[in-house]
Amino acid sequence: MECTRLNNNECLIELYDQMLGDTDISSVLRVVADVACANLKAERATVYLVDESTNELQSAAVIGNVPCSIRLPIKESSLAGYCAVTGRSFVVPDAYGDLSVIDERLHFDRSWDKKTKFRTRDVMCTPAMFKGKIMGVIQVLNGKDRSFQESDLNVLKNISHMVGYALYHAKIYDDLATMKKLEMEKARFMQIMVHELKSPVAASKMMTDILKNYKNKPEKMVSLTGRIADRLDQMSQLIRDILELASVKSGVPLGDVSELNIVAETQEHYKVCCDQAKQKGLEMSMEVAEKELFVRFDSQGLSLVLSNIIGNAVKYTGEGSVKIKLSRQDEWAVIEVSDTGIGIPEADIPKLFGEFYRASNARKSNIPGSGVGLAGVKNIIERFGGRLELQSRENEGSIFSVYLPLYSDTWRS
Amino acid sequence: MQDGKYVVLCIDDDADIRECLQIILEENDYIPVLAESAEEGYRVYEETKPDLIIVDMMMEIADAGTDFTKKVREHNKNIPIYMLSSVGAGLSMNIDYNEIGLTGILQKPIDNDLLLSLLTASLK
Repeated sequence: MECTRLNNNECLIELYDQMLGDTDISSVLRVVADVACANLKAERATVYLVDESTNELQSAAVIGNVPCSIRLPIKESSLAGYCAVTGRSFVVPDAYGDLSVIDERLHFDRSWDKKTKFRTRDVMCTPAMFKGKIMGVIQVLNGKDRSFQESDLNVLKNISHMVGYALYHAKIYDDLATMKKLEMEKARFMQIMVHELKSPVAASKMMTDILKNYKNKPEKMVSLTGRIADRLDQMSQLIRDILELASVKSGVPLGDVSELNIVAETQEHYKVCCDQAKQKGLEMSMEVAEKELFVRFDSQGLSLVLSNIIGNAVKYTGEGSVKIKLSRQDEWAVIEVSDTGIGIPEADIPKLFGEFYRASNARKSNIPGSGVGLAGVKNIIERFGGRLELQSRENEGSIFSVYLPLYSDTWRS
Repeated sequence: MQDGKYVVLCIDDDADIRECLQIILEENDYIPVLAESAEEGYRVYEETKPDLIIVDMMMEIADAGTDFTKKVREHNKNIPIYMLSSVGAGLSMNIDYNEIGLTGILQKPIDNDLLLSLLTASLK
Protein backbone atom coordinates (compact mmCIF):
# COMPACT_ATOMS: atom_id res chain seq x y z
CA MET A 1 0.00 0.00 0.00
CA GLU A 2 1.75 3.17 -1.18
CA CYS A 3 0.66 5.80 1.30
CA THR A 4 3.18 8.26 -0.02
CA ARG A 5 0.97 8.71 -3.06
CA LEU A 6 -2.04 9.65 -1.00
CA ASN A 7 -2.73 12.31 1.58
CA ASN A 8 -3.31 11.28 5.18
CA ASN A 9 -7.12 10.99 5.02
CA GLU A 10 -7.09 8.96 1.80
CA CYS A 11 -4.42 6.76 3.28
CA LEU A 12 -6.46 6.15 6.40
CA ILE A 13 -9.64 5.38 4.45
CA GLU A 14 -7.81 2.87 2.28
CA LEU A 15 -6.22 1.34 5.36
CA TYR A 16 -9.67 1.11 6.97
CA ASP A 17 -11.09 -0.71 3.93
CA GLN A 18 -8.23 -3.14 3.86
CA MET A 19 -8.43 -3.88 7.59
CA LEU A 20 -12.16 -4.54 7.60
CA GLY A 21 -11.90 -6.78 4.55
CA ASP A 22 -9.30 -8.99 6.15
CA THR A 23 -10.09 -11.39 8.98
CA ASP A 24 -6.57 -12.69 9.53
CA ILE A 25 -5.08 -10.83 12.51
CA SER A 26 -1.45 -11.27 11.43
CA SER A 27 -2.15 -9.94 7.98
CA VAL A 28 -4.05 -6.90 9.35
CA LEU A 29 -1.26 -6.01 11.74
CA ARG A 30 1.43 -6.33 9.10
CA VAL A 31 -0.46 -3.79 7.01
CA VAL A 32 -0.77 -1.47 10.01
CA ALA A 33 2.94 -1.64 10.81
CA ASP A 34 3.80 -1.09 7.16
CA VAL A 35 1.47 1.91 6.83
CA ALA A 36 2.66 3.44 10.09
CA CYS A 37 6.30 3.08 9.05
CA ALA A 38 5.78 4.40 5.52
CA ASN A 39 3.41 7.22 6.37
CA LEU A 40 5.47 8.50 9.27
CA LYS A 41 8.79 7.84 7.51
CA ALA A 42 10.06 5.79 10.43
CA GLU A 43 12.92 3.30 10.49
CA ARG A 44 11.04 0.79 12.62
CA ALA A 45 7.47 0.03 13.60
CA THR A 46 6.18 -2.64 15.95
CA VAL A 47 2.59 -3.58 16.74
CA TYR A 48 2.22 -5.30 20.12
CA LEU A 49 -0.80 -7.24 21.31
CA VAL A 50 -1.80 -7.69 24.94
CA ASP A 51 -1.50 -11.30 26.12
CA GLU A 52 -3.88 -11.37 29.08
CA SER A 53 -2.84 -14.84 30.27
CA THR A 54 0.74 -13.70 30.94
CA ASN A 55 0.11 -9.94 31.35
CA GLU A 56 2.65 -9.17 28.64
CA LEU A 57 2.89 -7.38 25.32
CA GLN A 58 3.76 -9.75 22.49
CA SER A 59 5.08 -8.35 19.21
CA ALA A 60 2.67 -9.33 16.44
CA ALA A 61 4.04 -7.39 13.46
CA VAL A 62 7.38 -5.68 12.91
CA ILE A 63 8.87 -3.54 10.18
CA GLY A 64 12.59 -2.91 10.30
CA ASN A 65 15.41 -5.03 11.64
CA VAL A 66 14.00 -6.27 14.95
CA PRO A 67 14.14 -9.67 16.67
CA CYS A 68 11.46 -12.02 15.45
CA SER A 69 9.62 -12.06 18.73
CA ILE A 70 9.59 -9.60 21.60
CA ARG A 71 7.74 -10.09 24.87
CA LEU A 72 7.54 -7.25 27.37
CA PRO A 73 5.80 -7.18 30.74
CA ILE A 74 2.98 -4.66 31.01
CA LYS A 75 4.91 -2.42 33.38
CA GLU A 76 6.57 0.98 33.22
CA SER A 77 9.95 -0.71 32.67
CA SER A 78 9.73 -0.11 28.89
CA LEU A 79 8.17 2.59 26.69
CA ALA A 80 5.59 0.25 25.19
CA GLY A 81 4.88 -1.21 28.64
CA TYR A 82 4.31 2.29 30.04
CA CYS A 83 1.93 3.04 27.17
CA ALA A 84 -0.05 -0.16 27.93
CA VAL A 85 -0.25 0.64 31.67
CA THR A 86 -1.22 4.30 31.36
CA GLY A 87 -3.08 4.35 28.02
CA ARG A 88 -1.09 7.51 27.13
CA SER A 89 0.19 8.39 23.69
CA PHE A 90 3.51 10.23 23.68
CA VAL A 91 6.53 11.34 21.69
CA VAL A 92 10.02 10.83 23.13
CA PRO A 93 12.43 13.13 21.23
CA ASP A 94 15.53 11.35 22.57
CA ALA A 95 15.25 7.88 24.13
CA TYR A 96 18.64 8.27 25.82
CA GLY A 97 17.77 11.71 27.22
CA ASP A 98 15.92 12.79 30.37
CA LEU A 99 12.52 11.10 30.14
CA SER A 100 11.32 12.39 33.52
CA VAL A 101 10.23 15.64 31.82
CA ILE A 102 7.46 13.58 30.17
CA ASP A 103 6.76 11.30 33.16
CA GLU A 104 8.93 10.20 36.07
CA ARG A 105 7.87 6.61 35.51
CA LEU A 106 8.99 6.55 31.88
CA HIS A 107 11.97 4.30 31.24
CA PHE A 108 13.81 3.23 28.07
CA ASP A 109 15.41 -0.21 28.08
CA ARG A 110 18.76 0.17 26.27
CA SER A 111 19.44 -3.59 26.31
CA TRP A 112 17.29 -4.05 23.19
CA ASP A 113 19.50 -1.62 21.25
CA LYS A 114 22.53 -3.61 22.34
CA LYS A 115 20.96 -6.90 21.30
CA THR A 116 19.85 -5.66 17.89
CA LYS A 117 22.84 -3.33 17.28
CA PHE A 118 20.51 -0.37 16.77
CA ARG A 119 20.57 3.16 18.18
CA THR A 120 17.10 4.38 19.14
CA ARG A 121 16.67 8.13 18.89
CA ASP A 122 13.07 9.32 18.83
CA VAL A 123 10.06 7.16 19.64
CA MET A 124 6.28 7.43 19.43
CA CYS A 125 3.83 5.15 21.21
CA THR A 126 0.06 4.95 21.19
CA PRO A 127 -2.36 2.36 22.57
CA ALA A 128 -4.81 0.50 20.33
CA MET A 129 -8.12 0.45 22.17
CA PHE A 130 -11.61 -0.89 21.69
CA LYS A 131 -14.49 0.11 23.95
CA GLY A 132 -12.09 1.48 26.55
CA LYS A 133 -9.96 -1.67 26.68
CA ILE A 134 -6.30 -1.57 25.64
CA MET A 135 -5.76 -4.36 23.12
CA GLY A 136 -2.27 -3.45 21.98
CA VAL A 137 0.38 -0.78 21.42
CA ILE A 138 1.80 0.69 18.21
CA GLN A 139 5.36 1.92 18.49
CA VAL A 140 7.45 3.66 15.81
CA LEU A 141 11.14 4.52 16.08
CA ASN A 142 13.52 7.01 14.46
CA GLY A 143 12.03 9.46 12.00
CA LYS A 144 14.10 9.26 8.79
CA ASP A 145 13.83 12.87 7.56
CA ARG A 146 13.28 14.58 10.90
CA SER A 147 12.39 13.79 14.50
CA PHE A 148 8.78 12.96 15.28
CA GLN A 149 6.49 15.89 16.11
CA GLU A 150 3.14 16.09 17.90
CA SER A 151 1.43 16.24 14.47
CA ASP A 152 2.95 12.82 13.68
CA LEU A 153 1.48 11.49 16.91
CA ASN A 154 -1.98 12.55 15.71
CA VAL A 155 -1.52 10.46 12.55
CA LEU A 156 -0.43 7.48 14.66
CA LYS A 157 -3.45 7.93 16.94
CA ASN A 158 -5.79 7.91 13.94
CA ILE A 159 -4.27 4.64 12.78
CA SER A 160 -4.55 3.12 16.26
CA HIS A 161 -8.26 4.06 16.55
CA MET A 162 -9.02 1.83 13.60
CA VAL A 163 -6.64 -0.90 14.74
CA GLY A 164 -8.61 -1.49 17.93
CA TYR A 165 -11.81 -2.05 15.96
CA ALA A 166 -10.12 -4.21 13.32
CA LEU A 167 -8.46 -6.33 16.03
CA TYR A 168 -11.80 -6.97 17.68
CA HIS A 169 -13.36 -7.81 14.31
CA ALA A 170 -10.56 -10.17 13.25
CA LYS A 171 -10.48 -11.77 16.70
CA ILE A 172 -14.12 -12.82 16.40
CA TYR A 173 -13.40 -14.69 13.16
CA ASP A 174 -10.24 -16.14 14.63
CA ASP A 175 -12.13 -17.32 17.72
CA LEU A 176 -14.80 -19.01 15.59
CA ALA A 177 -12.22 -20.86 13.47
CA THR A 178 -10.34 -21.85 16.62
CA MET A 179 -13.56 -23.09 18.25
CA LYS A 180 -14.26 -25.39 15.33
CA LYS A 181 -10.74 -26.79 15.43
CA LEU A 182 -10.94 -27.18 19.20
CA GLU A 183 -14.23 -29.11 18.92
CA MET A 184 -12.56 -31.64 16.64
CA GLU A 185 -9.54 -31.90 18.92
CA LYS A 186 -11.84 -32.29 21.92
CA ALA A 187 -13.69 -35.18 20.24
CA ARG A 188 -10.42 -36.95 19.47
CA PHE A 189 -9.12 -36.27 22.99
CA MET A 190 -12.36 -37.67 24.50
CA GLN A 191 -12.12 -40.85 22.44
CA ILE A 192 -8.56 -41.51 23.54
CA MET A 193 -9.31 -40.53 27.14
CA VAL A 194 -12.29 -42.93 27.32
CA HIS A 195 -10.08 -45.72 26.01
CA GLU A 196 -7.32 -44.94 28.51
CA LEU A 197 -9.73 -44.74 31.47
CA LYS A 198 -11.71 -47.78 30.44
CA SER A 199 -8.61 -49.98 30.07
CA PRO A 200 -7.82 -50.32 33.79
CA VAL A 201 -11.56 -50.62 34.62
CA ALA A 202 -12.11 -53.35 32.01
CA ALA A 203 -9.00 -55.26 33.04
CA SER A 204 -9.94 -55.06 36.76
CA LYS A 205 -13.50 -56.25 36.02
CA MET A 206 -12.25 -59.19 33.97
CA MET A 207 -9.80 -60.19 36.70
CA THR A 208 -12.53 -60.08 39.39
CA ASP A 209 -14.75 -62.23 37.13
CA ILE A 210 -11.90 -64.73 36.77
CA LEU A 211 -11.62 -64.87 40.56
CA LYS A 212 -15.38 -65.50 40.83
CA ASN A 213 -15.72 -68.03 37.99
CA TYR A 214 -12.50 -70.00 38.22
CA LYS A 215 -12.05 -70.77 41.91
CA ASN A 216 -10.00 -73.85 41.07
CA LYS A 217 -6.98 -71.60 40.43
CA PRO A 218 -6.04 -70.46 43.96
CA GLU A 219 -2.46 -69.79 42.90
CA LYS A 220 -3.76 -66.98 40.73
CA MET A 221 -5.71 -65.26 43.50
CA VAL A 222 -2.85 -63.40 45.14
CA SER A 223 -1.37 -62.36 41.82
CA LEU A 224 -4.68 -61.20 40.35
CA THR A 225 -5.83 -59.31 43.46
CA GLY A 226 -2.48 -57.49 43.54
CA ARG A 227 -2.83 -56.57 39.90
CA ILE A 228 -6.38 -55.33 40.40
CA ALA A 229 -5.06 -52.98 43.06
CA ASP A 230 -2.27 -51.83 40.70
CA ARG A 231 -4.74 -51.09 37.89
CA LEU A 232 -6.96 -49.07 40.22
CA ASP A 233 -3.93 -47.06 41.40
CA GLN A 234 -3.03 -46.52 37.76
CA MET A 235 -6.51 -45.22 37.07
CA SER A 236 -6.38 -42.81 40.02
CA GLN A 237 -3.06 -41.42 38.79
CA LEU A 238 -4.40 -41.16 35.27
CA ILE A 239 -7.43 -39.19 36.45
CA ARG A 240 -5.14 -36.80 38.35
CA ASP A 241 -2.94 -36.38 35.27
CA ILE A 242 -5.95 -35.75 33.04
CA LEU A 243 -7.30 -33.10 35.41
CA GLU A 244 -3.89 -31.44 35.44
CA LEU A 245 -3.69 -31.52 31.64
CA ALA A 246 -7.18 -30.05 31.41
CA SER A 247 -6.09 -27.19 33.66
CA VAL A 248 -3.02 -26.59 31.54
CA LYS A 249 -4.98 -26.67 28.28
CA SER A 250 -7.55 -24.21 29.64
CA GLY A 251 -4.90 -21.52 29.21
CA VAL A 252 -5.41 -20.18 32.72
CA PRO A 253 -2.10 -20.11 34.62
CA LEU A 254 -1.90 -22.78 37.33
CA GLY A 255 -0.32 -20.30 39.75
CA ASP A 256 0.80 -16.67 39.96
CA VAL A 257 2.74 -15.34 36.98
CA SER A 258 5.84 -13.61 38.26
CA GLU A 259 9.59 -13.36 37.85
CA LEU A 260 11.16 -16.61 39.04
CA ASN A 261 14.78 -17.61 39.56
CA ILE A 262 14.90 -20.97 37.79
CA VAL A 263 18.19 -21.84 39.52
CA ALA A 264 16.51 -21.82 42.94
CA GLU A 265 13.38 -23.57 41.59
CA THR A 266 15.42 -26.33 39.90
CA GLN A 267 17.49 -26.89 43.05
CA GLU A 268 14.32 -27.67 44.99
CA HIS A 269 13.26 -30.33 42.50
CA TYR A 270 16.81 -31.64 42.29
CA LYS A 271 16.84 -32.29 46.07
CA VAL A 272 13.56 -34.24 45.87
CA CYS A 273 14.71 -36.36 42.93
CA CYS A 274 18.14 -37.00 44.52
CA ASP A 275 16.50 -39.26 47.12
CA GLN A 276 14.70 -41.26 44.44
CA ALA A 277 17.86 -41.50 42.35
CA LYS A 278 19.89 -42.66 45.35
CA GLN A 279 17.43 -45.48 46.03
CA LYS A 280 17.99 -46.69 42.47
CA GLY A 281 21.78 -46.35 42.75
CA LEU A 282 21.93 -43.57 40.16
CA GLU A 283 24.51 -40.80 40.11
CA MET A 284 22.81 -37.40 40.10
CA SER A 285 24.44 -34.00 39.58
CA MET A 286 23.54 -30.37 38.91
CA GLU A 287 25.78 -27.80 37.21
CA VAL A 288 24.94 -24.11 37.45
CA ALA A 289 26.74 -21.40 35.46
CA GLU A 290 25.12 -18.48 37.31
CA LYS A 291 23.38 -18.15 40.70
CA GLU A 292 20.41 -16.32 39.21
CA LEU A 293 18.56 -16.78 35.96
CA PHE A 294 15.24 -14.99 36.01
CA VAL A 295 12.30 -15.85 33.76
CA ARG A 296 8.71 -14.68 33.83
CA PHE A 297 6.61 -17.79 34.41
CA ASP A 298 3.68 -19.32 36.19
CA SER A 299 4.97 -20.69 39.53
CA GLN A 300 3.00 -23.93 39.61
CA GLY A 301 3.48 -24.41 35.87
CA LEU A 302 7.26 -24.24 36.30
CA SER A 303 7.02 -26.79 39.09
CA LEU A 304 5.07 -29.08 36.76
CA VAL A 305 7.70 -28.70 34.02
CA LEU A 306 10.62 -29.44 36.34
CA SER A 307 8.96 -32.36 38.17
CA ASN A 308 8.04 -33.99 34.84
CA ILE A 309 11.36 -33.53 33.06
CA ILE A 310 13.61 -34.37 36.02
CA GLY A 311 11.23 -37.01 37.39
CA ASN A 312 11.04 -38.79 34.00
CA ALA A 313 14.83 -38.83 33.72
CA VAL A 314 15.10 -40.65 37.08
CA LYS A 315 12.08 -42.88 36.37
CA TYR A 316 13.31 -44.15 33.00
CA THR A 317 16.96 -44.67 34.02
CA GLY A 318 17.80 -48.08 35.47
CA GLU A 319 21.52 -47.50 35.88
CA GLY A 320 24.03 -44.73 35.27
CA SER A 321 23.35 -41.05 35.80
CA VAL A 322 21.03 -38.07 35.55
CA LYS A 323 22.65 -34.66 34.99
CA ILE A 324 21.02 -31.24 35.18
CA LYS A 325 22.71 -28.20 33.68
CA LEU A 326 21.51 -24.57 33.88
CA SER A 327 23.01 -21.89 31.68
CA ARG A 328 22.40 -18.66 29.79
CA GLN A 329 22.49 -18.73 25.96
CA ASP A 330 21.95 -15.28 24.42
CA GLU A 331 18.45 -14.20 25.50
CA TRP A 332 17.53 -17.68 26.80
CA ALA A 333 17.72 -19.45 30.13
CA VAL A 334 18.41 -23.11 29.37
CA ILE A 335 17.60 -26.11 31.60
CA GLU A 336 19.18 -29.27 30.22
CA VAL A 337 18.38 -32.67 31.76
CA SER A 338 20.33 -35.65 30.41
CA ASP A 339 20.14 -39.30 31.43
CA THR A 340 21.56 -42.71 30.55
CA GLY A 341 18.13 -44.34 30.54
CA ILE A 342 16.05 -46.36 28.10
CA GLY A 343 15.96 -43.55 25.53
CA ILE A 344 13.26 -43.10 22.95
CA PRO A 345 12.99 -44.99 19.63
CA GLU A 346 13.46 -42.66 16.67
CA ALA A 347 9.99 -43.40 15.28
CA ASP A 348 8.36 -42.31 18.54
CA ILE A 349 10.13 -38.96 18.94
CA PRO A 350 7.85 -36.86 16.67
CA LYS A 351 4.76 -38.16 18.53
CA LEU A 352 6.11 -38.04 22.07
CA PHE A 353 4.40 -34.78 23.05
CA GLY A 354 0.97 -35.98 21.93
CA GLU A 355 -1.66 -36.58 24.61
CA PHE A 356 -1.60 -40.12 26.09
CA TYR A 357 1.30 -41.08 23.84
CA ARG A 358 3.98 -43.30 25.36
CA ALA A 359 7.04 -44.49 23.48
CA SER A 360 6.86 -48.16 22.48
CA ASN A 361 9.73 -49.19 24.77
CA ALA A 362 8.16 -47.36 27.72
CA ARG A 363 4.85 -49.15 27.17
CA LYS A 364 6.59 -52.53 27.08
CA SER A 365 8.62 -51.81 30.20
CA ASN A 366 7.04 -52.24 33.63
CA ILE A 367 7.48 -48.54 34.31
CA PRO A 368 4.06 -46.95 34.94
CA GLY A 369 3.07 -43.79 33.11
CA SER A 370 0.00 -42.15 31.61
CA GLY A 371 1.52 -40.44 28.58
CA VAL A 372 -0.12 -37.18 29.64
CA GLY A 373 2.70 -35.28 31.35
CA LEU A 374 4.83 -34.16 28.41
CA ALA A 375 1.85 -32.80 26.45
CA GLY A 376 1.08 -30.42 29.32
CA VAL A 377 4.75 -29.51 29.80
CA LYS A 378 5.18 -28.50 26.16
CA ASN A 379 1.95 -26.49 26.26
CA ILE A 380 3.03 -24.44 29.28
CA ILE A 381 6.57 -23.81 28.00
CA GLU A 382 5.35 -22.56 24.63
CA ARG A 383 2.68 -20.37 26.21
CA PHE A 384 5.45 -18.36 27.87
CA GLY A 385 7.46 -17.99 24.68
CA GLY A 386 9.81 -20.92 25.33
CA ARG A 387 10.56 -24.15 23.53
CA LEU A 388 11.32 -27.78 24.42
CA GLU A 389 13.93 -29.77 22.48
CA LEU A 390 14.72 -33.46 22.65
CA GLN A 391 17.65 -35.60 21.60
CA SER A 392 17.50 -39.29 22.31
CA ARG A 393 18.80 -42.72 21.35
CA GLU A 394 17.09 -45.93 22.34
CA ASN A 395 19.01 -47.77 25.10
CA GLU A 396 21.50 -44.91 25.42
CA GLY A 397 19.56 -42.10 27.03
CA SER A 398 17.91 -38.74 26.39
CA ILE A 399 18.57 -35.01 26.67
CA PHE A 400 15.61 -32.71 27.27
CA SER A 401 16.42 -29.00 26.85
CA VAL A 402 14.01 -26.32 28.02
CA TYR A 403 14.59 -22.82 26.61
CA LEU A 404 12.85 -19.98 28.44
CA PRO A 405 13.10 -16.25 27.54
CA LEU A 406 15.26 -14.47 30.10
CA TYR A 407 13.59 -11.71 32.03
CA SER A 408 15.62 -8.55 31.45
CA ASP A 409 17.54 -7.25 34.49
CA THR A 410 16.18 -3.75 33.78
CA TRP A 411 12.59 -4.96 34.17
CA ARG A 412 13.15 -6.31 37.67
CA SER A 413 12.25 -3.72 40.27
CA MET B 1 -6.73 -77.27 15.61
CA GLN B 2 -4.07 -78.83 17.79
CA ASP B 3 -4.49 -82.05 19.72
CA GLY B 4 -8.23 -81.92 19.03
CA LYS B 5 -8.61 -78.43 20.48
CA TYR B 6 -9.35 -75.15 18.72
CA VAL B 7 -6.55 -72.58 18.63
CA VAL B 8 -7.56 -69.01 19.46
CA LEU B 9 -5.17 -66.12 18.76
CA CYS B 10 -5.58 -63.21 21.24
CA ILE B 11 -3.91 -59.90 20.40
CA ASP B 12 -4.02 -57.10 23.01
CA ASP B 13 -1.35 -54.72 24.33
CA ASP B 14 -2.79 -55.05 27.87
CA ALA B 15 -1.01 -57.87 29.72
CA ASP B 16 -3.86 -58.32 32.21
CA ILE B 17 -6.46 -58.71 29.44
CA ARG B 18 -4.22 -61.26 27.71
CA GLU B 19 -3.86 -63.25 30.95
CA CYS B 20 -7.63 -63.22 31.57
CA LEU B 21 -8.31 -64.49 28.06
CA GLN B 22 -5.67 -67.17 28.49
CA ILE B 23 -7.29 -68.43 31.71
CA ILE B 24 -10.81 -68.41 30.23
CA LEU B 25 -9.72 -70.24 27.09
CA GLU B 26 -7.54 -72.84 28.82
CA GLU B 27 -10.25 -73.61 31.39
CA ASN B 28 -12.72 -74.23 28.55
CA ASP B 29 -10.52 -76.51 26.46
CA TYR B 30 -9.22 -74.04 23.93
CA ILE B 31 -5.56 -73.41 23.13
CA PRO B 32 -4.75 -69.68 23.49
CA VAL B 33 -1.83 -68.13 21.63
CA LEU B 34 -1.01 -64.56 22.60
CA ALA B 35 0.50 -61.45 21.04
CA GLU B 36 0.90 -57.88 22.34
CA SER B 37 0.85 -55.90 19.11
CA ALA B 38 -0.64 -56.12 15.63
CA GLU B 39 2.84 -56.63 14.19
CA GLU B 40 3.60 -59.54 16.52
CA GLY B 41 0.03 -60.80 16.07
CA TYR B 42 0.48 -61.18 12.31
CA ARG B 43 3.70 -63.10 12.81
CA VAL B 44 2.03 -65.47 15.30
CA TYR B 45 -0.98 -65.82 12.98
CA GLU B 46 1.23 -67.03 10.13
CA GLU B 47 3.16 -69.41 12.40
CA THR B 48 0.25 -71.00 14.29
CA LYS B 49 -2.65 -70.89 11.77
CA PRO B 50 -5.32 -70.31 14.48
CA ASP B 51 -9.00 -71.19 14.15
CA LEU B 52 -10.29 -67.87 15.47
CA ILE B 53 -8.81 -64.45 16.22
CA ILE B 54 -9.63 -61.93 18.96
CA VAL B 55 -7.88 -58.59 18.35
CA ASP B 56 -7.94 -55.29 20.26
CA MET B 57 -8.95 -52.20 18.26
CA MET B 58 -6.48 -49.67 19.70
CA MET B 59 -2.93 -50.82 20.32
CA GLU B 60 0.36 -49.30 19.14
CA ILE B 61 -1.66 -47.02 16.84
CA ALA B 62 -5.32 -46.12 16.93
CA ASP B 63 -6.37 -48.34 14.00
CA ALA B 64 -4.01 -51.23 14.73
CA GLY B 65 -6.86 -53.75 15.01
CA THR B 66 -8.64 -52.77 11.79
CA ASP B 67 -5.37 -52.68 9.85
CA PHE B 68 -4.50 -56.15 11.14
CA THR B 69 -7.93 -57.48 10.15
CA LYS B 70 -7.70 -56.09 6.63
CA LYS B 71 -4.28 -57.67 6.22
CA VAL B 72 -5.52 -61.11 7.31
CA ARG B 73 -8.58 -60.82 5.05
CA GLU B 74 -6.39 -60.33 2.00
CA HIS B 75 -5.53 -64.03 2.22
CA ASN B 76 -8.15 -65.56 4.47
CA LYS B 77 -11.83 -64.75 4.01
CA ASN B 78 -13.15 -67.44 6.37
CA ILE B 79 -11.43 -67.24 9.74
CA PRO B 80 -13.71 -65.65 12.37
CA ILE B 81 -12.24 -62.38 13.67
CA TYR B 82 -13.69 -60.54 16.69
CA MET B 83 -12.53 -57.07 17.60
CA LEU B 84 -12.24 -55.84 21.19
CA SER B 85 -13.37 -52.28 21.78
CA SER B 86 -13.06 -49.92 24.79
CA VAL B 87 -14.68 -46.87 23.26
CA GLY B 88 -18.29 -47.93 23.52
CA ALA B 89 -20.85 -49.19 21.01
CA GLY B 90 -21.73 -45.68 19.80
CA LEU B 91 -18.22 -44.72 18.78
CA SER B 92 -17.35 -48.12 17.43
CA MET B 93 -20.34 -47.80 15.07
CA ASN B 94 -17.99 -45.72 12.94
CA ILE B 95 -16.51 -49.07 11.92
CA ASP B 96 -18.15 -50.83 8.98
CA TYR B 97 -18.04 -54.51 9.97
CA ASN B 98 -18.53 -55.77 6.44
CA GLU B 99 -16.00 -53.49 4.84
CA ILE B 100 -13.25 -54.60 7.20
CA GLY B 101 -14.34 -58.22 7.32
CA LEU B 102 -15.09 -58.55 11.03
CA THR B 103 -17.27 -61.29 12.38
CA GLY B 104 -18.25 -59.14 15.37
CA ILE B 105 -17.23 -56.61 18.02
CA LEU B 106 -16.88 -57.34 21.73
CA GLN B 107 -16.98 -54.53 24.26
CA LYS B 108 -14.49 -54.57 27.11
CA PRO B 109 -14.76 -55.84 29.81
CA ILE B 110 -15.48 -59.09 27.99
CA ASP B 111 -18.28 -61.10 29.54
CA ASN B 112 -17.12 -64.67 30.19
CA ASP B 113 -20.40 -66.35 29.11
CA LEU B 114 -20.80 -64.17 26.01
CA LEU B 115 -17.28 -64.98 24.87
CA LEU B 116 -17.80 -68.73 25.32
CA SER B 117 -21.11 -68.68 23.44
CA LEU B 118 -19.55 -66.79 20.53
CA LEU B 119 -16.67 -69.26 20.37
CA THR B 120 -19.11 -72.14 20.31
CA ALA B 121 -21.24 -70.52 17.62
CA SER B 122 -18.23 -69.70 15.43
CA LEU B 123 -16.30 -72.92 15.81
CA LYS B 124 -18.42 -75.84 16.86
